Amino acid sequence: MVEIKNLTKKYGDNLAVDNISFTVSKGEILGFLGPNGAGKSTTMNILTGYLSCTDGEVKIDGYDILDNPIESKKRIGYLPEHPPLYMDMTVAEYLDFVYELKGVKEDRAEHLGKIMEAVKITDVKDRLIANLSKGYKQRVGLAQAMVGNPEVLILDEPTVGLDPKQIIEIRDVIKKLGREHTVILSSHILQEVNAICERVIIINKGRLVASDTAENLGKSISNENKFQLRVSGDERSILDALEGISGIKYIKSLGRKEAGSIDFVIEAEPNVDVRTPIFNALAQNGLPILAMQAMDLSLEDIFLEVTQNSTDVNAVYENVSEDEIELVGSSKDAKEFEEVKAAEQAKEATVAEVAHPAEPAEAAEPAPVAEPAHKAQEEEGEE
Amino acid sequence: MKAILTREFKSYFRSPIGFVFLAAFFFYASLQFVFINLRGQMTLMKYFFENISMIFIFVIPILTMRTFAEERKSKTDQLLLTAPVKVTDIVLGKFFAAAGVLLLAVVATMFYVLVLNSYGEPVFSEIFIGYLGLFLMGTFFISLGMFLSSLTQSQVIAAVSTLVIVFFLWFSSSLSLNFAAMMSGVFHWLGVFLDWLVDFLAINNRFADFTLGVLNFVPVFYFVSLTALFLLLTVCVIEKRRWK
Repeated sequence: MVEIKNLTKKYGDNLAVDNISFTVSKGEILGFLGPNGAGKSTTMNILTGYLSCTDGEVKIDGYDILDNPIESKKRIGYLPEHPPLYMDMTVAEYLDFVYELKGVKEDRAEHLGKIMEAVKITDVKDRLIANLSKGYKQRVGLAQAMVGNPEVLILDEPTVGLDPKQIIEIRDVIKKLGREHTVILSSHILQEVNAICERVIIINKGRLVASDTAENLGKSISNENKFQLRVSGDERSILDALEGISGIKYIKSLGRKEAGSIDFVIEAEPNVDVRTPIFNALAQNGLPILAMQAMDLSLEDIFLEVTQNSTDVNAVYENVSEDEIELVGSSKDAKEFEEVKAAEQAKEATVAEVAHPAEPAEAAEPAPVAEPAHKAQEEEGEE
Repeated sequence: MKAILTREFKSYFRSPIGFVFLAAFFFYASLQFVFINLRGQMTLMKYFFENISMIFIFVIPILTMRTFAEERKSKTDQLLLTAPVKVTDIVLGKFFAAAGVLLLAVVATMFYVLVLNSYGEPVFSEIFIGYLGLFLMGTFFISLGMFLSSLTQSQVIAAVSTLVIVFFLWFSSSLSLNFAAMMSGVFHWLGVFLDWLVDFLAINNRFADFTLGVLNFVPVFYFVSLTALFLLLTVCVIEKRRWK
């Protein structure tokens, strides 16, 4: 449905997108992931014909975006990073305009009504867009992309600025859209991509560094054998009991998380199952295991891994935004990061039980990467 | 194109901009009508046209400053440029919307002709040609203003630059100093060229034919071709930006 071949975009001497190729088939939801300044928005702007590429080609449903812009643009609905809204219009007037602009043939009232229903803006349709809250503006932007029922939806950070409840709603809408449409969705929030997308593409510094399903990415990148343990008892005796179990690479204590118990992160040699020996050793010493949980690689780990491997850290420092420096910088010391991560995951494990199961993103997350998400959520004001 | 034209035209009257434009135009036009035609007691509208064309210097930037500068600033150009429409249609839609507002203003002043008709005997054909000239000159300024608006994200810069250039064009006829006579020898041809350039730019010299009630091909072609040129340049600016 969407074919991208050797896409390259230069701004002067600055290489924003470097030889990216991928295809998206019909009905697929593709996550487009990368740190700030990685070239996500540029790529999306090229896909939609807003910018032209320096080299390479983009085909939408077989139509080249440069040779046949009208036909290919007919098949695209685009929600840019900043929703392109006319502040002096009401929601209904605006969608009416978009309907006319795109030259849609479907029955107007029914078509627009359905879209407004889907993104839940029917009750604000007579209000001026300028007076809407950020969340509603974002939804109107999404509605605009859906007008004309385009086969391909390209959404640039669709949930930015929404509150947690709205994020879940919009994600549901996107998932539903993914059944009939091809969706390309960019995000720097990993949970989001994990929650919505079947396939993930990670780009960094304009280069494609990974492309696979979220699960496969995890498998291929690392075969770490790590898990987390909560044992009742004092640290000394637990460590003594665990000593001598073969196959354990290291044991790290995370301190007390629950009264009378200690949390540990244990990494074992690959392909060695140390769980039974650990159970036996602790049981023999009368130290009951309260919890044991395998630590799967999350998208975040994968993300950090691939973005780190793909670039020279020093080069990244030279020309990226502050956000990115923070991101890359915090991951530079991988050991230190593991600690934070493990601690957070331990927290998450307990929180997750209480938290709403449908809210993966709202559970506690490692600080450095998830920070923009939290910030964005805080910023969402009342109407 | 129709969708953009309709939206733009309506948006002039959603904000105060359209009303400010009309109010400023009517105020000045009425003033001129009262002083020239009523107090001067004449049905000839030549001086009326000559004088009210000056208000274009101040009101045309109001119409054109936001056309593209605002779209870019608020990123709504992304909607237009990723929609299945040609850039030419976008530019023409906006142009016709602004020209429509201008037409509204110009046509409304035809009320004065009715007033003249009830007290004297105005020559309708001459007056009509004068109105045509006024409108053509206005549309040229609009295309110029749109072009300048497409170059910037700032409405203020767009407005001020339009004002300065239209101001210069309007007064350039007074720059006709007969350079050819002043310069001798090798510089004579430079003088001739300068005279030609000043005359070419002197928009009032082209407009004069209309105000006299003479319909000549050359001035019509002058205004229409310049309008088309600046619309084309606007399209080029927008097309080229994609390739940056």
